[in-house]
Amino acid sequence: MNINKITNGNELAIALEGRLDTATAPRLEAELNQSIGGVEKLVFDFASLEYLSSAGLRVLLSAQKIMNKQGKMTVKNVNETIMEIFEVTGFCDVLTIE
Amino acid sequence: MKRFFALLFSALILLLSLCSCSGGSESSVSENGEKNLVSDFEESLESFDNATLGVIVGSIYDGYSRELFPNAKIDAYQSFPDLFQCIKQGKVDGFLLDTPNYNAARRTDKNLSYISIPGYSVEIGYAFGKNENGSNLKSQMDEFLGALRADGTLDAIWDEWCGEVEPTENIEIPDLSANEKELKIAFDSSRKPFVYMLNNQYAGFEVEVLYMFCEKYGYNPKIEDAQWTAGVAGLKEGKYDVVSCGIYITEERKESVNFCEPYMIADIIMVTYENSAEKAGFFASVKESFEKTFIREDRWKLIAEGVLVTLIISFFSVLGGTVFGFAFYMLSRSKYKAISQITKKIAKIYSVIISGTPTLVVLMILFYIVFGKSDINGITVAVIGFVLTFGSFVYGQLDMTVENVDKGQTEAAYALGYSRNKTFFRIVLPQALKMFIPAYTGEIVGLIKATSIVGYIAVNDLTRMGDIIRSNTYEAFFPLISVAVIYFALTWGVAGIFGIARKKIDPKNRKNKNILKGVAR
Amino acid sequence: MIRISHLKKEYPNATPLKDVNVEINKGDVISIIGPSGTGKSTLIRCINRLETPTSGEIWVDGKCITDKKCDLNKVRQKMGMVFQSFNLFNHMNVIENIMAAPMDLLKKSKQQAYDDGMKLLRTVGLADKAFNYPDELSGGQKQRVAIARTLAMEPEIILFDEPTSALDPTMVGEVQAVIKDLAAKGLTMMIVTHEMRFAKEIANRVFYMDEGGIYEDGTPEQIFDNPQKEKTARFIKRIKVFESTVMSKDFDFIGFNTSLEEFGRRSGISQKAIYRMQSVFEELCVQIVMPELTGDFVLNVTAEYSQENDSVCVQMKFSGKHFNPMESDNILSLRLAQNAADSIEYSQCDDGEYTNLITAKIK
Repeated sequence: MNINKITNGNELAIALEGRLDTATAPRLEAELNQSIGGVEKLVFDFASLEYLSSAGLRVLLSAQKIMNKQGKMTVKNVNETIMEIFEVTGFCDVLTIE
Repeated sequence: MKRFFALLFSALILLLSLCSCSGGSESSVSENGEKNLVSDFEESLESFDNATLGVIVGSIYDGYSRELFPNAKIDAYQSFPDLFQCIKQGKVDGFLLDTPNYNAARRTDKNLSYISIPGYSVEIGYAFGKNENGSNLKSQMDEFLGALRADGTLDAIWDEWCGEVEPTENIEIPDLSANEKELKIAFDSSRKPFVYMLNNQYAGFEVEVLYMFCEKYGYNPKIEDAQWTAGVAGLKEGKYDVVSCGIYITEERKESVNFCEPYMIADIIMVTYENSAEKAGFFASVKESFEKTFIREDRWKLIAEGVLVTLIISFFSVLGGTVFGFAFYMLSRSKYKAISQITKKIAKIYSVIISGTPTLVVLMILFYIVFGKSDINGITVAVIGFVLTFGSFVYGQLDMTVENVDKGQTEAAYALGYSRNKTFFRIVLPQALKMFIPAYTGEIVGLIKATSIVGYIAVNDLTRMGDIIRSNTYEAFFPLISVAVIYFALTWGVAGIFGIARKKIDPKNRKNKNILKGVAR
Repeated sequence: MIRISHLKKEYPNATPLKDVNVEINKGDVISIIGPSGTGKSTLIRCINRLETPTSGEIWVDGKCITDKKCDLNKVRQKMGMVFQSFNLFNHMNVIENIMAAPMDLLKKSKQQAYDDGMKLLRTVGLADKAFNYPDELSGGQKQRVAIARTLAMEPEIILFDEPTSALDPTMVGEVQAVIKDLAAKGLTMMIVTHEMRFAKEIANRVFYMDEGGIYEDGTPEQIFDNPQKEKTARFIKRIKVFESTVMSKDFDFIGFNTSLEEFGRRSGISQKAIYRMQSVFEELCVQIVMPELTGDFVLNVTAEYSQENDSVCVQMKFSGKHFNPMESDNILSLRLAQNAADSIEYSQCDDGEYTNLITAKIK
């Protein structure tokens, strides 16, 4: 999985490429721990995300929780399969999806 | 950008050389007169006990210097003009020399002085082959010199060439072409005042005497210009009958050549230098150096001749080497396994030998051993030598670049129905050439520079001409730097041409409309 | 059209072809499958003599091409070959690649070669890339150009040597489409491939190669669904069934997913279905079951693709105490697993070490 970060002041944009699963979720978690401090706007771009499992969802949830206190988090460019996952798990209510 | 730096670089070199040029000039005269007469030689020579002395590598002066001045530092150089340059620059404090050589140099630089060294002298003469022909010539020469000595002619000629005044008139060269007997002479035209070029004609003490000798004994002189080492080596093979270069007669040399009785026994002196108070202006000395090197006596013609020789050797070597290497390579690709295997084995052994042998050694082996007895031209030998080395490179480089073209494309071509040869020329070679050309260009540049060694096999190329001028003018650096600049211009020109060719060959540089010429889209 | 008689190809360390005898008819589309090293590529490379047979004879249209006197170049001009590594001519652009052979060998005029070439480029869908150079194209595009290049010589038979093996999964489809198109037009073809679904769909005849020759030769239905001989059956089963055993929590998760993906591609399963298989495994086995396992354990996963139902049946069995993952607290993973599978059933079992069994059906 490739994590592409772009920082713009207190805005952080993260684009994910590939699979977010049990093997790769810890990396995203580490990246977020490192960079999320002081961020007021966090945007996830899932245009190139092919696969999402529960491990990934958990990392997204903890990020959402942090951002709820600091500012705003959105997820954009979600494909059909991923959208289905969000709906089935109820995450579409937890996350802000564009 | 590159061109700018190249020009800047050559300008810098010229500037640096002129700084060392302006060290000595003609326009001032020492106040103490011309010679430094010393009464007690021990007292004045004492100052040389701890000095730095110059000698020619392996010459008799080497031995004498160490004998006379055991505590001095001895630095060895290649030629007399080098020693004169060094003493001017203060690199050496003095050096031993014979009086004729000294006198010739002093004409152009009055800052030179000398101290006599009584009891030391050199014998100078002509060298003949150690064979029956040589012995006969020696007898004739001894007889001839005896006659000249008897009626005072020898001394007169000696004073004319080896005195303090620079000769200005050329020898009247007689037409001896009617004579049947040939005398093969090797003149080393960098040995003023014995043999040198005056107004682009042979001149000097030995030249005049030798022409008179030919006239008297009915010889037709066949002259070749050869550096004295090449000349002496040629004597053995019978390539030359006589070597004329102001050679010193030593016991060791007598073992391999026949010398005539010395025509002169010259005193040995210690050459010294005193920088005069007045120095000519910077630009004045630049102008003077330029004038001496190129204008005076039309010396630029020598340079032009040298450039032509260098270009001829380079051109034919590259042409021959490319054809030779390419043909051999195509042979190694023969579909007959036997032929290709043998070719490859030969090529491997050959390239190991060639790349392990210095080109100079290859040339000398060809000149002195392989073609020693034949009458072959030095330029031809040089071309053959370079064809052998360049050809080896072409073969190896072709082999490598063709290997690098991936085999799959060859298979695809075969699968389409291309024959072996068509595949090679249409698919593989065009792609190999792209990689081949840069290395090829580099090798050509290297070859042009490598031709500078042909002076050793009696060919007067650009470098040797520079040396000849250097020994006639006693100016070391301006001739050298100009020669360097000319080489640079030549190689730069060649590299430029090939750079353009490379761009034109690159398939991606073609315009679409040219690719599809004649096709309606 | 092609008759092969007692073909033998021997190398210093191996003899991939011991004794091959077969006849190939005009219009045949033959898929050549089999384990690695069984001479599949060697066979077709002998047919166009890129390999020289050690012994035996090959007759093409009545001419004996194994004969020394045969004009190989002329014979090859009537055959085309498409390579695994494309092998386009790098110093020519696309249209030149296609025009080269017809102009040089068939002496076609430049105009004619250009027109015909552009037409072929259009059929493979790459007319706009005519002036690009091979290194500017993707793998799939290169292969399509390669196919157009062989077609330009109007061959009577085209040999394909693993045409999609070097391609990214996303580009395999575009090349297979072009090849299917050619088959539909009635071209005689021989295709060495590892893509089983493709091999079955496109061919009218399948060679399973093993033991130094054509081990079994039949229609796709015969070979794939009803193999007669033992080794064929084993091979087919292997490619239809995926099996893997995990014995430690530190197993190679990424490697597992990759083999599962390869199995899916081989069977021609859609990418979505592959993700679902992986999801079922990841959520049920990794996220729910494995945390419950203590000490030494074994976990076995098999997946079998059924063409009739167009579905995959994934069976996961594991050792240790009885535990029904469907009753787990991990709602998140459960939801995802249930979303991925049509049905998930748990049962206790008594199968050697295995005490628990989960069966999931995925469309």
